[in-house]
Amino acid sequence: MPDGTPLLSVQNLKTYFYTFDGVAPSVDDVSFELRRGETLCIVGESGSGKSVTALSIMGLLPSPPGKVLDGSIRLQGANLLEYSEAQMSDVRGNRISMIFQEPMTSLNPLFKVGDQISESFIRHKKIGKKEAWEASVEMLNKVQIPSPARRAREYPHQMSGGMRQRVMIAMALACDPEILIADEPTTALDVTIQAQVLDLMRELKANFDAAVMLITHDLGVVAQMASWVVVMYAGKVVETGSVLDIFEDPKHPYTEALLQSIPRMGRRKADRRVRLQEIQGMVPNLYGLPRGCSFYNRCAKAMASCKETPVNLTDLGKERQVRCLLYG
Amino acid sequence: METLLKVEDLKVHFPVSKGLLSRKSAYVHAVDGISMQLDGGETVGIVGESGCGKTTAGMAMLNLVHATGGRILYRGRDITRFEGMSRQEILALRKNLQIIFQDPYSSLNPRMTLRQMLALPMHVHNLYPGKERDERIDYLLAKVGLSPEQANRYPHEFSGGQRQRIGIARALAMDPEVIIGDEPVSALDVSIQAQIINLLMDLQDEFDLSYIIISHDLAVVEHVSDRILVMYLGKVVESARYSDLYGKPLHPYTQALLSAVPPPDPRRQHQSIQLEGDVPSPVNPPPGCAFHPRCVHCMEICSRETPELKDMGNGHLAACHLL
Amino acid sequence: MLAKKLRRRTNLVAGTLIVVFMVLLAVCAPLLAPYHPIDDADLMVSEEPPGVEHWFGTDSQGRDVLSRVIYGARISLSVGLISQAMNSIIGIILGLTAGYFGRWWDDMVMGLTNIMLSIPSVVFALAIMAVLGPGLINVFIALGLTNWSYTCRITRSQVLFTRDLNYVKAAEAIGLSRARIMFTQILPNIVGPILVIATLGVAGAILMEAALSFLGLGTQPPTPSWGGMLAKAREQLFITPWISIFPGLAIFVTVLGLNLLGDGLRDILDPHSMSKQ
Repeated sequence: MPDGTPLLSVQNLKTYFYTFDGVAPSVDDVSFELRRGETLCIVGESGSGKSVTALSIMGLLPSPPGKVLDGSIRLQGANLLEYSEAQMSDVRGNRISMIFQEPMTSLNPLFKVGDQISESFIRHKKIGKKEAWEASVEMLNKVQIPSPARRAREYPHQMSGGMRQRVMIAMALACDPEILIADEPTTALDVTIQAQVLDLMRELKANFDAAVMLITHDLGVVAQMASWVVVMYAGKVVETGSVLDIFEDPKHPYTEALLQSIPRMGRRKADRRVRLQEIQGMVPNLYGLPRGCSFYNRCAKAMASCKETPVNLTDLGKERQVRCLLYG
Repeated sequence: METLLKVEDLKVHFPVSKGLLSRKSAYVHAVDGISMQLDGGETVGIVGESGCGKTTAGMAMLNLVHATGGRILYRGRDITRFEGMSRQEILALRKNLQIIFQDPYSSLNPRMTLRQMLALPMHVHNLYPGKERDERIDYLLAKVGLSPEQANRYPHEFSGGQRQRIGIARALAMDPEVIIGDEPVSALDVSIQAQIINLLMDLQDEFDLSYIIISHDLAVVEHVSDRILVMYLGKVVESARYSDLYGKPLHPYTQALLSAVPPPDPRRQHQSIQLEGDVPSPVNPPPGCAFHPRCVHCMEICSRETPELKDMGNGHLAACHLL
Repeated sequence: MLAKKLRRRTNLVAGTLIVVFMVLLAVCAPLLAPYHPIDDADLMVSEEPPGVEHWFGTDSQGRDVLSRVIYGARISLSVGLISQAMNSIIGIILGLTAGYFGRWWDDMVMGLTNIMLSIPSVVFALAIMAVLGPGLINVFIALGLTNWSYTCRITRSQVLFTRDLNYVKAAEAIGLSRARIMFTQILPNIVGPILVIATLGVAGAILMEAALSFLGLGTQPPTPSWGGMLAKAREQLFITPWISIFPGLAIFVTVLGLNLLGDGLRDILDPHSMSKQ
């Protein structure tokens, strides 16, 4: 069990979106902690609120229509939600960095890659252009890009997807942040490139001693990268626990069903194709969530009370939490 | 089982034009000589990463993209590029060879209701006239798990998973023999993928369909396919029954590919076979074996000679100088 | 839902109201105009400033300016609508085929479009009028042949984008003929920008008709047209300003309304066609 006070503590975060179609509770009373040296994976599908959580932490919410209504986000005790834009701008890229899913659109096509990394150094470390450039080349080396000096002079469109993602990682780690948030960092990459990037991230985490918050929908990535897992569904946290606990002893019916429904390699025994354990129904529309459990209409273990009773998180001890009437 | 679709040395080369007068100076070898066959009731899976040409190959089989070389045979008859075929014959082919697309958002005409979309193929092929048509539409919708009341809605009123079902209903509308699924579940949420995979398999059993499933998701392909082809830069590097491919992959690329998939099991800390560099672009494929720049076992001959697909026993084909 | 959306679209609402108002004026001219625009010419009251009898005053022939402005709407609007309809049809057909078939036909159409775009439209219209001679019908023809290039370009670029979308491929896979695909699958989905250009084009045509009439090539006297009225009153602009101010105002308001309508349409049509779940 990881020790020490939490590096990042998110408590009762509520981020709602106000649009033409109504109010969407994208993040509804979400709490979790991230400790030094840990890799926390937030798992969820579309509408789960995982990306919005990350954006709320970074202060990058499109506002309007998004708005943080409640809760606290404490970085080493200081509540980021109370920071001014100027203060947040000191935090971003410096103490907390974020990398995104689509490396092509996350890098500015008009600037050389080396300049984009240098920006981080110049902004946060207050060093000169030349020094920053050298530091950038060194960063490219650290993310295992061959011929880093030459590559630093290239533009994003001259690089492949995998390489661009490494550049993003270089930018993110440039100022030695305490936390790295990665939002679906490998989803848009080919599987062999994904393997490279995940390996890289594991190595870098060891070298840079950053805590990682990895957002993904890919359970394989979670299994390989996470130490702790937060499962989100329709804006709420439905289960948390260590990665072993989640995979071997899932408590929430959603987690359980998800694990059972994915096709796994090497599992097929019979010649005859076997039906997968599917989950009925669809991810609910955030604009019309039910009063009770949001997973009710898809749950194999649903009880009558699940439909109308609002469900709270139950603490199962040993850092395990579930939001389900089966447990409390 | 009879052979429905046979592909011989299929090539699709796109010109990259340069210069004012469009002199073709380079070609994209999207598909560079692949051969395969699909028997009745079978599912053939085609896997590969981006740029390998699998989607283009699928499109070429249906003549949605022009094949520049090779032959495509349907029930023994040459249908490459639909050459020399009358409109009637083309329509008959289109009826039997259908496709499901990856993106449930761009594959449905936003201005047509479900009913109109499903009625369209029947209209074009003069099937199910009059009242029968509406009945057939209701039947199709029910078969894919949608309710007939939704027939008058527009695509944007449905979720991704539902739209994929609509796409499947559309492909089924004409009672085809072969359906090509181009990444049929890749754009869907994980919890929905199983539904659609199951649906496809149920429909296959019920309607005696034959599938070609194109995907980059190895787990999905293993689950649904009888035979699998692995493509790399426009060529087939390995082809085998699913159990042989996943159990004993012969080609170094297949081995790397399989090892790269992170297993959803935290106890198995997997070490993937690291490949050097990136997936190359099909504009200038490397000489000799297209995979040699990234191959751990690369030998001298690999950069000179392109290896042929050899039968290594039991119908397991692989193209590698190591073998 | 729709009402809520309309309330936010002040452009659309305002534009529609103005345009509808003008159309009503034109259609109901005989009912609304207090005098006949041509026959009620009383030289005794010529060049009277606006007053109780003649709200917009009278012109040099003693005709009621208000009535002439109302009847003038007929000319201007019909020229605008008909010639833009011609432009749109030409532009759509050329743009659709160029975008869908590509290759040499595309090159030809684009070449032609570029030539058209490099010739100032007034000059081109004038050239046609010079060949055909003055008169309203000829104005229709001239303007109808002049401004199709914008529609053509927009249509073509929309087609280029749309034809690669999977639902078009699906239509091909079903066996639809190419013509049917162009008109039933692609066209309905790209109507938005074309419509916006069309509304702006109507405004442009009205202005062009005014210009042609101003130059004496459009409608011939005594038929009232806003441009013609402006022309005639030009020399006496400071002596009898009302004869030119009101037709000028009419042009201004109509063009403004059409622009607002076009703006509003663009706002409505865009997010709808791009709506995701």
